[in-house]
Amino acid sequence: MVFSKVIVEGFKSFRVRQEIPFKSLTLLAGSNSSGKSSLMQPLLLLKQTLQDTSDPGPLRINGPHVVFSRAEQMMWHAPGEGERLSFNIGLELSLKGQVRRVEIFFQRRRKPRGAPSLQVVKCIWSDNPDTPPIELTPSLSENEIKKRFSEEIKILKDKLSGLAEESQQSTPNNGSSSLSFKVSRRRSFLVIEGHSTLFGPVSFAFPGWSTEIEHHLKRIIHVPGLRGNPQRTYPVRSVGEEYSGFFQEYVASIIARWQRQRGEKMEELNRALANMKLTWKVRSYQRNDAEVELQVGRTEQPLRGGAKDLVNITDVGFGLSQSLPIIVALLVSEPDQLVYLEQPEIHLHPDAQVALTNLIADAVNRGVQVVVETHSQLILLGIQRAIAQQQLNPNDVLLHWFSRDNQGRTEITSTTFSEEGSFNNPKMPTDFADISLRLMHEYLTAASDTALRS
Amino acid sequence: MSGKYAIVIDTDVVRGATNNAKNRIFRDILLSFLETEHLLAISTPLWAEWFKQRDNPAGQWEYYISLYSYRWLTEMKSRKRVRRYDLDHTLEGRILSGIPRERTGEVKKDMHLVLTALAADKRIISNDQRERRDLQKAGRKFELLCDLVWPPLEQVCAWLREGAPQKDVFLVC
Repeated sequence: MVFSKVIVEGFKSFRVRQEIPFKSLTLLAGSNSSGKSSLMQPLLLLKQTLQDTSDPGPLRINGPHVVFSRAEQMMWHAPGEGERLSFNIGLELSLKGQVRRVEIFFQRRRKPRGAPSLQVVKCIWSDNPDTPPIELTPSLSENEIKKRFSEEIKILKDKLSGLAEESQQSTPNNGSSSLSFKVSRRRSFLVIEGHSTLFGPVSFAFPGWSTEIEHHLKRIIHVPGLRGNPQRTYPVRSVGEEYSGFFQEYVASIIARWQRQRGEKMEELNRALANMKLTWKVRSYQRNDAEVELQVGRTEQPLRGGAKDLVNITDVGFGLSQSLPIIVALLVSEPDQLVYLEQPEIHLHPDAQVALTNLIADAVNRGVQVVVETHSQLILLGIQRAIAQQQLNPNDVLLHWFSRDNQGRTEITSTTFSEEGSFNNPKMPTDFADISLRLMHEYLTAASDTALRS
Repeated sequence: MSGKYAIVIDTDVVRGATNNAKNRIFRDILLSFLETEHLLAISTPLWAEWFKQRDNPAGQWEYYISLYSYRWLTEMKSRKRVRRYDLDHTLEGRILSGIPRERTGEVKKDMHLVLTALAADKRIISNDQRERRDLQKAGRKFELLCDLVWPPLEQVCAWLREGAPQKDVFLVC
């Protein structure tokens, strides 16, 4: 698991501060507009801010993953509560027993006058429950920095002195005269930037592990609910650990790489597509140096001479083009990488939804962290089956059920699972079965009434 | 709702919850059960009876319980509301001692239903009025049977929503 908590306060429908836990597989379900997507938006806002090619200010509010047009759209508001000018978002990383947290406090400028509408007013970093968190504000003076972080600075000085001695350079006043510090905004975060002229200009920032948080945010794979229309060709993309922008644009290039590698991934992909009864084969075909085409088999099973029976992905049903990014995301993701799937069930036949749960379980068992936002009772039941069949460890799975109170505030009811795949929380308000049973009952009653009347 | 009890449901209810017009009450009962907080009391022989396979008119096998009940049971299990009980078979003789000889065969057949109810919270949902009358007679010799709550089918939904109380009028005897 990578992301173990998301922290929100005053953000959209999260009025009060909440720390929402995550596990290796986290399911987000519940009624429409209850806050499921909003819970993931802090991570996506940070991702799109970090991956912007130029500095968009503290948050890129209009990006490929989350789209706002005004800062106040991100803030909790309710009639009679007055205008809110601030919100905070944060996260906790848990990696190899080490827990690291950051919480960022944003404030809206009333009159931006061309400047970004948001400013970071505080950033709290913590990595050890025994030591006080590092609380940074932009107004922190150099003297205060040197006073508050004297130990860290001493360690830094010692390191620099050691390096200076090694390189036999003079270190006037033990290097201290060449060190300066200030609080700087690095995209969404406030960090302490140090500057030394000992070996020429050298910059450093702490907490040093802040870059680790940035690294994991940038690696998030986001497959949105709206995955766009299939394209005749896709732009050639460089495939690495990070996918900035729309993930679906990388799919053709990822498949092209798997084809070139002639490894297991292509087999896994075709097997997954066949299990989901979508197609027997997918192939990437490079049209030129800039464009890749996706070709797919028309049938579930190969026909005689079917090797040539491939058509452009736009010429088959939406089910395939919409689910391909999901399957590819689950297969391409690495251990300790977060894959966030929004409504993976869209356009999928129930059979395919059930088969998808096996792919999700496989990814989780490879060490990938998966967050699934869903309205599908089949996906939930498929995960419960995977737990009961011991394909998934119940300790790895968490379900958050979202609802809104009469003020519009998000309420989350959560449960872990027993070894039998049952909810450990007896108060879970999950209503998928209630709705389907009530519908079945009403239909059967109405149908038999009609039969009796005729 | 005041109570939360482990209640036994007879096979005739889960089998009857089908699309048959006469059987809508069975579907109603299961839905009401799901919408309250009561637990389903089950035992190994009762479970086996529910999942006994039988041939349908098309010549394919199917479970004794209806598809509707299957979905209902899945959700009950998912919500951890199925509680399994071990049966005390030493009670069989005491129950049968109060049953007329010609009825012992029938009562024996449904013994697991009664034993499960006795092991759980002594509440039964069943349409088997003959069995209820047999137990009433047997209660004269084995008083514990008189504690069984067995409401008439048409009152079960309301009774469940009230918290499945031990109303005197619903007692077996």
